[in-house]
Amino acid sequence: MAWLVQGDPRPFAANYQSRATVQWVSEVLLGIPITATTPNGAGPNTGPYNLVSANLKNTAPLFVWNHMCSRLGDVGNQRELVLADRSMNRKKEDVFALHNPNPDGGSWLGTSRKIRDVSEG
Amino acid sequence: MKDDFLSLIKTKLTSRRYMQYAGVFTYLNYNPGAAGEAIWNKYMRPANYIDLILREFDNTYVWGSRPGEPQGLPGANGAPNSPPRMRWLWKTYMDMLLGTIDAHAVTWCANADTVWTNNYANAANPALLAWQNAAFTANTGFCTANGGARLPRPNTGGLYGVYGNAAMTFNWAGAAMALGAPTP
Repeated sequence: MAWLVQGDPRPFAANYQSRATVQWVSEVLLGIPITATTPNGAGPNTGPYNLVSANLKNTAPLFVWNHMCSRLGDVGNQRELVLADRSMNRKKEDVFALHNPNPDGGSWLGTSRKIRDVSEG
Repeated sequence: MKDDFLSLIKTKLTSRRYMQYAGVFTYLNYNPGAAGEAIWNKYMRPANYIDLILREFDNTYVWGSRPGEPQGLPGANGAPNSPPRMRWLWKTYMDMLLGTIDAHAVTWCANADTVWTNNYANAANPALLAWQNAAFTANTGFCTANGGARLPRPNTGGLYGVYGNAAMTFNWAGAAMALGAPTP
């Protein structure tokens, strides 16, 4: 998401007047409101729009995040977001492990593993 | 003696590094056929899924409702700014990003050809010679500007196949989605 806010201006050169702000990306696209206790850095790994900081329990409108993750564990939906690279799949697994709402049952983690294994088969 | 040994190791490591970097293009172009799916498809699918998400976003978000939105250009005669399109921004970003990678790959491969020929080419080693020919043979080598030194983008739907590609865009029910080309 960092490219929406900073970095190379070319995506905005022809048809746009200005880029998004960190606040808009955070609150609208990722649904993580900036508060007094939320980190508000400008870099891709320091701001609230960094992937690791995303909190699935947040009740704000997690538009992009929700769509990226929704039904990822559905075995009937194996086409979405399945990466070819093994190390990337490990990272994806780590991300989901951090936010697994049911660590003992392993619902998301277990099914995302299953999808990963299918993709690598 | 020690210096000679270290020099040999350094040469081998450096030449191996060139082989590994150039090998990225063969990996990205790999298609196992009936045994599996083309590698590049697995890269296209997430990008096209993001395209689908942003189409949904463009259809539902009320532009002007929150501060800090990206702003379109003003219309003629003082008309309000045209609403942004996240699909268009994503398309433009991907075009820019992949175009930059392609341009860099062509430059890198041309340089790699020169460096390899001057330092590591060994006609007496059949394996090295075979790799050199596969990589740097003009117009056909996998590390040449007119050969394989590029991302294997199909020109279907989107220019790069990573947006608007109906064959790579699936909704939650697994049905293919034809989104068409993004518009500014």
